[in-house]
Amino acid sequence: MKKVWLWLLLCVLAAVVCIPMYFLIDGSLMGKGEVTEYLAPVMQNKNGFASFRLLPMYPTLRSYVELLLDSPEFFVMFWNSVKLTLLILAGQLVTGVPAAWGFARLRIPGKRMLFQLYVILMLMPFQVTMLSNYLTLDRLRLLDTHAAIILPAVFSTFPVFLMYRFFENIPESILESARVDGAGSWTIFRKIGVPLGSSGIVSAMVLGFLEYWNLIEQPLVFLKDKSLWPLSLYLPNIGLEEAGMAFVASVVTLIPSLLVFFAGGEYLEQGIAASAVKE
Amino acid sequence: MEIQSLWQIKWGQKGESSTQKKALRYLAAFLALMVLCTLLSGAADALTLARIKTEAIRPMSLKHDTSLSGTLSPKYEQAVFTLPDQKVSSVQVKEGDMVKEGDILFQVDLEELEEQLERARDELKKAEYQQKDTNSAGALEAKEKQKAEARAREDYDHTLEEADRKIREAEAAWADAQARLDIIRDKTVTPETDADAGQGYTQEQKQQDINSLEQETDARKQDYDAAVAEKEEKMRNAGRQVEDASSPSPSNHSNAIAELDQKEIERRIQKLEQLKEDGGAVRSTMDGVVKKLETATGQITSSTMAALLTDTSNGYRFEAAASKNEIKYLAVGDEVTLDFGDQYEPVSGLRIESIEAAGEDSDQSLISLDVPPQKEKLPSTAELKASRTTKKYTAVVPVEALRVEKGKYFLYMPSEKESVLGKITVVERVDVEILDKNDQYAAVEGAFLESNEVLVHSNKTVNTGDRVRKEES
Repeated sequence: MKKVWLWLLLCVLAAVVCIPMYFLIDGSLMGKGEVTEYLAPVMQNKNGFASFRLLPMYPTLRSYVELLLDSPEFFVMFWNSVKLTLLILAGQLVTGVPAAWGFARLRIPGKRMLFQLYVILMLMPFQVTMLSNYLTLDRLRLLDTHAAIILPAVFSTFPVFLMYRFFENIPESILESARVDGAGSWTIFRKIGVPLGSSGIVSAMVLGFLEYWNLIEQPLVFLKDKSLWPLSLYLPNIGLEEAGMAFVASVVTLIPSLLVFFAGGEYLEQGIAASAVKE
Repeated sequence: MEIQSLWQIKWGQKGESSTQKKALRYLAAFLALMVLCTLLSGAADALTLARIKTEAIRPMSLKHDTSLSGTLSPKYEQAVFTLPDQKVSSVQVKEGDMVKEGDILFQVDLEELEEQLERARDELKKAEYQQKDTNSAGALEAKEKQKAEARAREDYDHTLEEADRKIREAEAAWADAQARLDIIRDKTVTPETDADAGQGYTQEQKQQDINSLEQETDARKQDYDAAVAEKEEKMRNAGRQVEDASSPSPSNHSNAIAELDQKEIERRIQKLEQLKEDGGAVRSTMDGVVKKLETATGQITSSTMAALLTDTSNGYRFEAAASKNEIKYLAVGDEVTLDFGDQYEPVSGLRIESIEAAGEDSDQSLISLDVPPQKEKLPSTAELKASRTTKKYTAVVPVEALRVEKGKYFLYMPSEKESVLGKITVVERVDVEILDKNDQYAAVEGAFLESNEVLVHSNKTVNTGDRVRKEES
């Protein structure tokens, strides 16, 4: 009996969480007039409240067609997002993984202090470091280029932190036995560290994807040229007339995140579970 | 145990973890779909994008070509007259014929001519006789007048003589009376005695004598005065008569008039005789074209012109009527060319002589100019061609670029904008004022954009703010 109630409660909570996504898909199938009607009170400062139906009265794929076939701007931004995300993740793989391994496994003087610094930096919100970032990028003449987003993100501290945890969990004995067998640091890292910490790496990548796919602040501040903007900046440009397109754009933006999560979510779980097991 | 749990974490092997694989497959498919949609939307955009042709706004001067049709008429005209009241027996030319000096235009009836000649001669004789009569009458009149004048003078002299004589007589009588009076006054008075009664001279007697003499004297004086007055009057009358008799007679040029009349008749006779000698032919007085013929066979000639000859050797006059709009770019003194079509050579280097309002209608104007004589005879219609170049305007655009909405002119100018798609070209509307315009170009004034180009042609309708693509020229 208790289970049933628990189950019901969880369902209700889950439904509450899922409603926005449902409305998103719902709205993307509505015609322009319908959407405008529902959202006018909000968007046009009229009296009354915005309302929404559970199912569209006049479903149509018009917004999809308009967005996917009639708006080249959307695709420019989409591929910008793809480019940014892939490059950032690649860069993080290249720099973050060794860094995490180094923090976890190597003996470096001042390691602790450096790591503390890392943690502090990780805790700071973007707004705090925004100005100094801007000045640095300006000096380096990287403003208004994709590198202004990619480079700071590549050297971001969060993935390092995540992966560090996983590398730390690897038993020392394995490494030692490997060293005894004659493996060098690099070989140990490559052949033992990476495979064993792969779940950590993947979960860092997945979280990284989710973060960088939806990046808003950095592009808004550092990119002036509109042709460099990522997809996350498409929505602020839309007004009430194109609310249908806004819904569709949101759906399209959502899909890769969903798919990536489905692809790599298991590792996330596993990684979290593994770290729990350790302690 | 740790190692075991860690070793459990493996890569998903093939066959296991279908969710993960499905998700990866879907992700790949999604990306492929995105690629496809990118290409499709790009293609659709390219199709819907208006392609435009532009031209730069540049400083230029505008050329205004004016073309008017008008008539060409020979400048020199001469009328041919002949004697009136002649009967036209035959006409040798018609309107439009070219004649040379001396060519016969028409002929008059000789019989009629002869009769007229006779009549004229008789008239002359009559006039001569009349003159003679008038002359003799005049002479006679003069003589009579002379006589009257002489007589009046005679009378005057005679009257004067008479009057003087009378005055003298009266004066003498008066003097006499006065003298006697004086004597009596001086006579001594002798007192009267009884003895010499009737012999003495008494005071009473003296007084009586004095009185009567005084009376007499007065009477004589009065006579004298009367005589003087009479003379005055008589002389006045006589003088007037002399005046009247000698007043000049009115001028009498009847002689001269008669002479002139006769001369005219003589001239007419001469002309008639000349015409008769020529066989009654009326000839052309110059080389030219018969523009008008006022006579016809069987008609009587009048004193107005019988024929109108025009001469092309003195040039032509070109005249054209045009509305105010058409002559906007013409002014007196402008150099023009007259075009006659294929058959004749155009004449250039001519200047407009005058542009005036044609009659009451202020909208129409008459343009005229002189054309010097040409080698060949020119036709009667011609096309005036003039071209005027205005000053250099700073901004000139092709006329195709002009658009109008609600009476206001505007242009579309491309401007570069930054957008998500990179640098795009957008057209913006720019309102302009037209300063001058001809068929091909218009000089405009307005707030131009940086690009300094205007949209001349577009394969789709565009509105302000639309994205466009410039066509490579």
